[in-house]
Amino acid sequence: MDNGSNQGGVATLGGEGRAAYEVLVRSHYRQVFAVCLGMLTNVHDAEDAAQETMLRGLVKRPDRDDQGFRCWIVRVARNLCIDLLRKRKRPRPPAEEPAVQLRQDVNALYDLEQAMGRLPMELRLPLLMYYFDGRSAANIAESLSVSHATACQRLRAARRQLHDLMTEGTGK
Amino acid sequence: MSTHCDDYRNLIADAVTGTLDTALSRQLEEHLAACADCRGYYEALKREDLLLGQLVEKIDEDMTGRQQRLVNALKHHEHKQTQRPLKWRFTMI
Repeated sequence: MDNGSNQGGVATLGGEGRAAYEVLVRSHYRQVFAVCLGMLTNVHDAEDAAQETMLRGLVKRPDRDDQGFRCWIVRVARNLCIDLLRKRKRPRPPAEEPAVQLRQDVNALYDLEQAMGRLPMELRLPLLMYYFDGRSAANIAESLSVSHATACQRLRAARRQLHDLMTEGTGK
Repeated sequence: MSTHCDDYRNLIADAVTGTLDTALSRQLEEHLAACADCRGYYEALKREDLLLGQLVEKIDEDMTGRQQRLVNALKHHEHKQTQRPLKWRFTMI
């Protein structure tokens, strides 16, 4: 399992190395955060995990191009979240984040967050990545190292199950 | 809902996520024109699509703050590296 061990050249620590790494951080942070959120379902846990992922990346990142780095750092994030979920032993209930004040959509948004938390992780992850990362199935396929057809199939299943969860008990 | 409609609901989910090809889009449009239940399903998925967009916008509100906290953590990490005793640093080489 690739958990961030150094397979290639180690990034140079120090001001210059860190400054270069900050550029990578700014390019890839949102996607790493989306992966962590998709797996952990809680914004605060996701932020902690994304930060830990990026810190590991600073010390251990292999000497890869931008695209290679993206796939690698996403893998590091996924492995880190898997470790965190194992430590939790059982999944937490869906996150209780502060309610957002979005006019009449407040309840609908709350229902959506609850439904997202109940989606299986293998569907929640690509769905969140889709909305965080330019609504592109191709990006998801690349980041998760699956075929384009698989990414599309998971998105479809995620949308259908999400709708079922959103309308559960309403008969719609 | 017929099995026929269930197949179209797969196409509806694909259409909402923008992964449906042109030929199937036309086929879906024809079905939607004739089936009120599937039209309702399509509208519901479109509404949920908007909500998903709003949810991400809400989470995104603090994304700059999160990135800044991370950058600060990176600086702190670097500072700790340079503050380690010389002897310890030699053992890392």
